[in-house]
Amino acid sequence: MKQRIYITGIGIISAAGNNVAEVLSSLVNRRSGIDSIRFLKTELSAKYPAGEVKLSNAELAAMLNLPAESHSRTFLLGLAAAREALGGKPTANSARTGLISATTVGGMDLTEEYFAALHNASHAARAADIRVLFSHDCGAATEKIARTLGLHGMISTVSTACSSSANAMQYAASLIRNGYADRMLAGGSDALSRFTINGFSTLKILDEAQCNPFDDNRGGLNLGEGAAYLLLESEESASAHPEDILSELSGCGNACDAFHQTAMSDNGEGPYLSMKYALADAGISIDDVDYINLHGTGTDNNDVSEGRAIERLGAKTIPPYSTTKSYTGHTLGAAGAIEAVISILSIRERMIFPNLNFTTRMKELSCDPVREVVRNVDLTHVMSNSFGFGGNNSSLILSKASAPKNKSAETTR
Amino acid sequence: MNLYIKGLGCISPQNTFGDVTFMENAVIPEGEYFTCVEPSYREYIDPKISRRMSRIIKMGIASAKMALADGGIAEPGAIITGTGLGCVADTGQFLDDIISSNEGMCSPTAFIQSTHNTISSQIAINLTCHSYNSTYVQRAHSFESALLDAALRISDGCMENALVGGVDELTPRLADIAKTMGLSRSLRDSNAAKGFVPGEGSVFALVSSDASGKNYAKIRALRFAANVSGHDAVRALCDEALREAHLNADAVDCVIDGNSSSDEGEFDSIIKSGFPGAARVSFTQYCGEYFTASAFGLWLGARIVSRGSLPSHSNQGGRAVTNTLIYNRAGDSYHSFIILSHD
Repeated sequence: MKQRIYITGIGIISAAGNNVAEVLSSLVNRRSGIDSIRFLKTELSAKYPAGEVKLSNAELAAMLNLPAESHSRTFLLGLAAAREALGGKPTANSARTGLISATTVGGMDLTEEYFAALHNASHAARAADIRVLFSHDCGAATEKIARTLGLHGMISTVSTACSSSANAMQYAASLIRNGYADRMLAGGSDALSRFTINGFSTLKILDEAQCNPFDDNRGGLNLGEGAAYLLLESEESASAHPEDILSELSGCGNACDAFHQTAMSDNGEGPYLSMKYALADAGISIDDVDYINLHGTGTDNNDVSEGRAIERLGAKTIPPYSTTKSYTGHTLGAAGAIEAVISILSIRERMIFPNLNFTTRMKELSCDPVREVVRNVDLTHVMSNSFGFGGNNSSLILSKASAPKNKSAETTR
Repeated sequence: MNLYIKGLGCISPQNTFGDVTFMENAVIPEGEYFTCVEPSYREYIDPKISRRMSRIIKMGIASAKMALADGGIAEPGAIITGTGLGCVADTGQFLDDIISSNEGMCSPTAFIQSTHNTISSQIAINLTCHSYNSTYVQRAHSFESALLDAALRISDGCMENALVGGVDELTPRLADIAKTMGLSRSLRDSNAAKGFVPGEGSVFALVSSDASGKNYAKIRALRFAANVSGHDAVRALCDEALREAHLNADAVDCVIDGNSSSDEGEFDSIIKSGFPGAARVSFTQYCGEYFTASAFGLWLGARIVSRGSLPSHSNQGGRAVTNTLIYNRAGDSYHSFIILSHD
């Protein structure tokens, strides 16, 4: 039987709050973080709202006790969430603790500033500033976060568009199961950039108002930014401190839609397969799932494809589902981890957080998303979906943790 | 680790595909840096589709399909790509569009193709392959991460085989940036003391747990760390690889190395003190330096192990080789060791 993977720490920063407690408060109070763009310098700020983290780079650096040199916002957000997930736990066995991060843009925020400045700069200025490009690639922030936190285990970075951090969690779990680490911090970070907002604008899938996913009159997605990390541990490692166990990563699925670079197939083959594989990996059926945290971006294409794929799973009754994108915006490479954290909050708080702005059922579907906060609900298994460009689809099953099998656990219960 | 290389596809600055004798004549490029010798893509991609694709995507798909055809597998159990910088031409194009139009009308094509997972995804779309699909982007360990993911998933029984690749493209702008950063030197500037010659390439390997049938080589060990420095720590990592392979250092016949660190001396001493009797071949002399150059190193190692001897033009040409160690060092802290054997 495959080894259990426990989650013993979570950290998050997003438009809905700068830490776990703030995000939970936003979710409970149905408070969206999507608003007018304040920090990103873009010509499109008047046109599109977005889920910006409500701190400037200078404020983030100060919060993290970092010198005010130019840091990529992807690094700053990532460090904030990673630090919270570690929770000040000692990293004495830091060689056995690693970091698998995920991002789609990496240090693009600094790169695009550099290239814009280049248009008017002399060659000398260019050579002096060019070192900023060392933070461009996706692996740069991961390396810097690990170094700052003193994690000396394996590091890597996944970039599979909007499913990146769900895949980072899968890889981290696999490394632990195969003895490459005892504990892995896994998740992702993405900062808003002109590059992405212009990119999604050319695709004409950005909503000019706050998004209303899974609604028949939905108008597209809102971009967001943020980071989330989860501390994954082996059973043996977690059993040394069972009081920290929040959840179990009981199933992972990854499949490719193999249909189109940006569009999803109408019948949702990729999403259907990723959910099916995750259920099989967890050894449960769709009828055992108590809640689905949707990918639910609010685009025409995603919501039809995902909704149909869920209906194809053949549940006796389709589990309650909702998307939290209308609180955080679509945080791209961070979304999978952000929503894994939110799924764990649902399990821990015994609550389901509702869709915002929903009014009309989609004509293609037979049920509505959750519309009001549901309280006092026992959630054993939650499925969290993340689907990306290129048909990179991933699903995770997060479960209420059973006690780790270890003497220390037996004595505490 | 028991992983067999069943198929290979390699697009590199050398003549490494089609009906050519293995590394008969090393190509020394005439320009400032290494550029790939590319195939006719018609064989691999519908021209109507490839017309809008950037070079990296075409090279990726073609080399992936070469590996599959070579291994005799139509649909792999996974497609996993490592790429240090991803689709830089499309990324640069879209950045230029944004800046020159002041965020006005930009074409979506460059943006769509700029994401790092485009290579893995386009291979899947080309093959209509719904299997596990992922992309790793950890600098000089992008390919190693992809290979480890494949090895673990295969050993966990999730699949029998996987298509694993390392793909990076070089653009004139990127070469210029590396030069301005003081990282690289021109290929023609043989007197320059420091710096690497930029390169590019796209290598896919079909790896499998199935020992039967044709194999190029068995991958016996893979060890890498991104935060190791100093002779002793690097040596310890190398020893881990040897232990994983159940080999003594003196059983290693050949070290295939690539180095872009500033500390040539330390790099040298790891190899000279650790493997005094082994032949030595640099892989970056053939492909130049890029984040996933170790994938070319794996290709070279697998071909050498498979034929059992070094390329005829190398200084120890014809020497018999059973076990080879690929040592990739990038910057001062990224080290990786891969051990291949004739199975």
